Amino acid sequence: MLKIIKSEFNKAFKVKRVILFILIIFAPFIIQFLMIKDGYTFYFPIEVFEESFSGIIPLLFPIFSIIIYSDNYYKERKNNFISTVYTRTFFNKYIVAKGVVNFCITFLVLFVSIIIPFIFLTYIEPLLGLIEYTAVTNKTILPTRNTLAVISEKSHILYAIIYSFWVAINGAFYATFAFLLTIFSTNYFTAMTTPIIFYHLGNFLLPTLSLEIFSPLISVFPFSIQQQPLWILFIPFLILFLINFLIGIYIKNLFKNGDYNV
Amino acid sequence: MFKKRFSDFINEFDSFYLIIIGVPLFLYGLYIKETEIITYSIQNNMPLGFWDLIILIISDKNIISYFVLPIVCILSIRTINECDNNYILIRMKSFKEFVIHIYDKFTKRILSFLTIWVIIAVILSIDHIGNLSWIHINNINTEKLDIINILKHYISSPLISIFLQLIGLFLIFQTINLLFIYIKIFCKKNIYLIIFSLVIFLFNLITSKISFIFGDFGRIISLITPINYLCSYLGILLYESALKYFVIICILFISIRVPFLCNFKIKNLFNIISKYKIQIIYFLSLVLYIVFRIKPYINMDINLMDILVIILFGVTNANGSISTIISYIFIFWGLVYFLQDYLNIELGGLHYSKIIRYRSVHEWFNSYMKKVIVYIIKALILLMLITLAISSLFKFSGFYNSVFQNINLSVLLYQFFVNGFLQMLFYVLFVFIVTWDTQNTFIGFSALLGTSVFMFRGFNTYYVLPLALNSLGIVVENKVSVFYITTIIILYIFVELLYIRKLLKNDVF
Repeated sequence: MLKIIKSEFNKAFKVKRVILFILIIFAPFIIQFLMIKDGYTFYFPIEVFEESFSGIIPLLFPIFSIIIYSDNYYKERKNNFISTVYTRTFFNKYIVAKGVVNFCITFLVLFVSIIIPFIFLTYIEPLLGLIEYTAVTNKTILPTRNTLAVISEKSHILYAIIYSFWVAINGAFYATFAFLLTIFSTNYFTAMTTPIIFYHLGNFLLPTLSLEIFSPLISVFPFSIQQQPLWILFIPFLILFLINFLIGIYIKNLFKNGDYNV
Repeated sequence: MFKKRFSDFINEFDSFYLIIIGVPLFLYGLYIKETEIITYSIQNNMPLGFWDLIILIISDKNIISYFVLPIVCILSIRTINECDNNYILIRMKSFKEFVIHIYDKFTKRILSFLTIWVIIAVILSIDHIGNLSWIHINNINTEKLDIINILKHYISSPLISIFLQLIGLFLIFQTINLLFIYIKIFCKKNIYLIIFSLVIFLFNLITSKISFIFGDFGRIISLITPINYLCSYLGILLYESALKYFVIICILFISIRVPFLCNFKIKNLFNIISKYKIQIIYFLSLVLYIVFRIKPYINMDINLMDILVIILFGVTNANGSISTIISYIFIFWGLVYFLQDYLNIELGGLHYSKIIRYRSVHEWFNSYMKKVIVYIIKALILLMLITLAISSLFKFSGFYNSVFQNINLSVLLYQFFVNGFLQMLFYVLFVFIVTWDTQNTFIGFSALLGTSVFMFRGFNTYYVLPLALNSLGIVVENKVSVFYITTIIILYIFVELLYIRKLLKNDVF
């Protein structure tokens, strides 16, 4: 099993994909940073960090997580590579290994893409002086606290690690959602876009029903609304997890009957 | 073919109809004509019109509930029993065919019955043909002329009210007939049919007499009384609108007819749902969105045009926040999504061989573009109609004196349809270029989603980038003219078409 996972990791890190990973890590942040650099009033670096994750990245978050590595199984099926796998290894293990590798790589890329901006903004940017911070006096009215303020007030680096972990694990589940759908669905396009529809349907409908706090976007990037209890963030995540879990069970039953659909 | 149909139709007029049905209808019509109405109109010196008399004859409450309804029940039972023998059943593949056979036969009979009735009514009122408008009456108290008073209040033309009455009768008779057929199929015995027809007859008589006793509960009873649907004026009075009455009888008829359209299987319904599930989700969420977007404005003094602008406001440079962008993406790029789904099927799998059959790829592309253009036009019209329909359900009306400045209807429609069409065409071509280049439909659609970055505040200040230029917000903002936007998008589409020409010249796949 470990051997398969290792070989899958080797497959994943091709030059083209690594360039894509680097783009996903840096490009959205740089664009967003240039957008908010001037014209906003900031008191602390952490505000810049939170502001830079409330525009482009929330909007394109599911695409970033799916585009990383979710289509690996589909491509191998399309090129008839899968039929050569049957004779060499257990097919079930192969699929599981692919799922694990997809999960891990998505997790890693998204984790890095959140933690690097944080390190840049708190440790490197003050040396360069790109942003002018307003000094805090007695009269200044500080911006309202968001849901994650509970953690950020205790320790900044702990906050950064926990938040990166949270975004990464969400993204990894979106990626797994798409990956699982490509296994049994014959329509590639629908399979890959269903998680995006899930994400944006929630963001589109729930605010109109005045249930904005439960929307998937707010769950991952809770900066644009007032402070809520921490457990509210877990509800969309739980739904996502349940969907993944149910599809996983469904696929396991399919394979038990020998219906590989390749 | 036509001759045979016509002779079939004529054969239905046998002596049974002429004597049993025709004579009582004629006598009662004569009674209506000679008694109250004529005397009343002569006394008050008000000439009765041609249409008025026809309406009075064919929508009389008493003759319908005491004579026509039992006759129709008998006709239906007779038709079912005529068809219910082994010689006919053995030739049918299924019960569905059997139902359709009875249904067709009954349709002919009921049409001939209605024709006889109309002919009798025309014969009786032929001497009033000189006067073709509504009777001029004010504040009359005669019970009979109430019919005309009510219809005149809700319907402008007398001819429409005659048609409404006839269509209402036809649909309700068919509904009753279908109920009889279902009872026959499930219970198999004639005694149930007779019991059911007696129940309908007595239920109609009792409920139409006593519904006013129960007070508030009487409203519910009057909703299920057959006579309120058989007489159009009573139905219109009940629902307070002619259109509402018509829609409700249509829904009633269709809901009874649906089971045998779907071949009596719920499985088929599930198949349809699973085939179009994304479309259904899109449609339902759009309706939900529009309803909840309208709700805060219900008690405000704004008109239909304002509501239209509020719902389809889209993204402008000033309000480019994440929530508005998501709404825009959902409403307009949702339509592009379905096209991309179609392109995915077209490019992948067995359909590859379909493209090869065309003489060149250009020709395939042209045929694809034709479908795209028709689709976009249909989609935009549908989007507009859905929005208008839902907003008019909340009783918004009128297109003048908008709350927003600088707006008039023609500019708004130009922006929505012409610029909207061009903008959608741009999106589709853009997605097509990326898809063809990468041979990956998902990347094609993701690239379109990626361009949403440029919708944020501060990027598209002068509306040079062709993104979200079909938003009605741009008209409200009045920073650039709508023709400027048309020019910009046309330029981009031209560049795209040139690029596609070059792209298709290269090796395919």
